[in-house]
Amino acid sequence: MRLLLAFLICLTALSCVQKSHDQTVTVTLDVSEIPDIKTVGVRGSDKPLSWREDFEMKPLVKDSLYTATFSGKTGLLFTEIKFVVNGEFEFKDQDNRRVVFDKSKKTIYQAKFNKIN
Amino acid sequence: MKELLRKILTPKKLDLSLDLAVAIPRIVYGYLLTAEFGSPKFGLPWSDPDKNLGLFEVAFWFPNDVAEYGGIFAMMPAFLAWMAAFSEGVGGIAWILGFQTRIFSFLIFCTMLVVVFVHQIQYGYWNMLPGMGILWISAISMVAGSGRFGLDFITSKLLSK
Repeated sequence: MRLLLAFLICLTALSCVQKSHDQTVTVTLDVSEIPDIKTVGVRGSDKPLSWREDFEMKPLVKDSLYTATFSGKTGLLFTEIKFVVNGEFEFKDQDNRRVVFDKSKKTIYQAKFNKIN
Repeated sequence: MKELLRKILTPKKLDLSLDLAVAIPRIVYGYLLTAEFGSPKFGLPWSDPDKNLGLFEVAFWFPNDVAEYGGIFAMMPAFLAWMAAFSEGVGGIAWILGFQTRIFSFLIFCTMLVVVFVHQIQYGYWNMLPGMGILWISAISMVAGSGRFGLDFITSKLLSK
């Protein structure tokens, strides 16, 4: 019993919460090949993104180039995202895009809709 | 102290069919707890490397989720998150092995009380069912111990000699 308690205390002392840091990601999406753009967004697995609703992307060049910046605390080395245009996901039934975080804590990711980088 | 340890360790004497009835769900759910529920939020050798978890580290997001429950959870979220993740990740292995079954069953019981009545209750009864299943198994294991299919059975035999 004492051994088990000592073991638990040691484990608690030696380990704890995964280290996390602020990470800012800027994504830029080329949608120039898509006609009639109404909405452009990004969805993903980590806050502030979600798979349920778009994180709105704003036009840099209307109907051609859209961007969004999001940030949050993370302990992961990457996040997974997909872009959504007019409510339609890219890469249906395929793997998500994997955005690997830059060590500078500011990551820039450029992509073309439905095209692998 | 040794007597208390022996009492906690020694399984209830049941016939073979009851021992099997206690052991099978405990082992199955032990595997699910450690492999499916524990390892994504608690650093274990079989945790997905993509989670970037060190050994026995609790995932960065879990204490934040725990703090959102308010009350005592907001007072010590890191400790409670660690204990919950530990009870799932390591408790699952203990359940498979039948090691310190009553102690780990108590830890899992406490975790499942929170899972069912604090976390899942907001999503309705259907979502409460998986946690409740584990809650009942932990309650039965707390009473019965490991049965003959566990290390506790062997250890208690050795201690009683």
